[in-house]
Amino acid sequence: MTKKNLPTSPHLQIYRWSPASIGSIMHRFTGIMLYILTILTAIMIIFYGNISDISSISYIDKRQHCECFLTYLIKFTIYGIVVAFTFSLYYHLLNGIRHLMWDIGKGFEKNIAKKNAILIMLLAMVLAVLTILFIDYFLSFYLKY
Amino acid sequence: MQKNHSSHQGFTHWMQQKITAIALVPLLMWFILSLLQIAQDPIIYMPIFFSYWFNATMAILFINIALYHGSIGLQVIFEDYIKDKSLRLFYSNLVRFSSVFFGIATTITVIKLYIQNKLGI
Repeated sequence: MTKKNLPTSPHLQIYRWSPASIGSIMHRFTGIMLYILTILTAIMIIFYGNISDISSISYIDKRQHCECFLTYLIKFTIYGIVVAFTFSLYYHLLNGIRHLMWDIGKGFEKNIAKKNAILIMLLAMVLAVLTILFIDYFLSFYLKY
Repeated sequence: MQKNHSSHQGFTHWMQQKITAIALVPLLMWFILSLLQIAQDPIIYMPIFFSYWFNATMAILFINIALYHGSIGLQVIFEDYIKDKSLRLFYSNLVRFSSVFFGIATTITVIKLYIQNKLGI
């Protein structure tokens, strides 16, 4: 017998957002995104590693260059996905180190924890932007639709 | 040898999550650097990259430990948000099976690339 979904009281509109709470939910959300990214990385390794077995498909050579609206839409979507994954990577790494520091016993004081949360969010964004610029300088191979 | 008497393995899951997290910190840094190298042209660079034993070892370790850490973490998330027990077990095992599948498939592909490039095929 399944339980029915009983109504819950509102919480997201009521309680005040703080850097610590945003940091905690972002850690969980970036963790989910990173799991998807790891599966995608595994698929890419398997795909490009066994390309000799499936090279009869050979659509890789037939990249056509079409200057229509759909290609720009695809390009921006791929850009958005890559930016989101890069940010998730850096944010989860830095926030994970913060969690491990808590396990050792450092960084519990309220002002230090709040400063660290904001610092990690900014540092993750900065590193993500730097990585995207670095890859974009070389990655025109992929985004050349 | 004392067995733990709880119905769920609370402490061991937490400890495994922390230890895999510690292992993943250097592995993730290696992964970012290797992505920056390979992303320029994967078809050309991936066989060259995996002809070094260090890269092959780190790749196998990274994929398997990351998928294990992720499957344990996702199990915790499912326990928080899904109340129906059979549905929760279904999603937990779905994540677990896909982790094992992609872990084995990536390991086999990386070993194949390493051996092929060492033999010069």
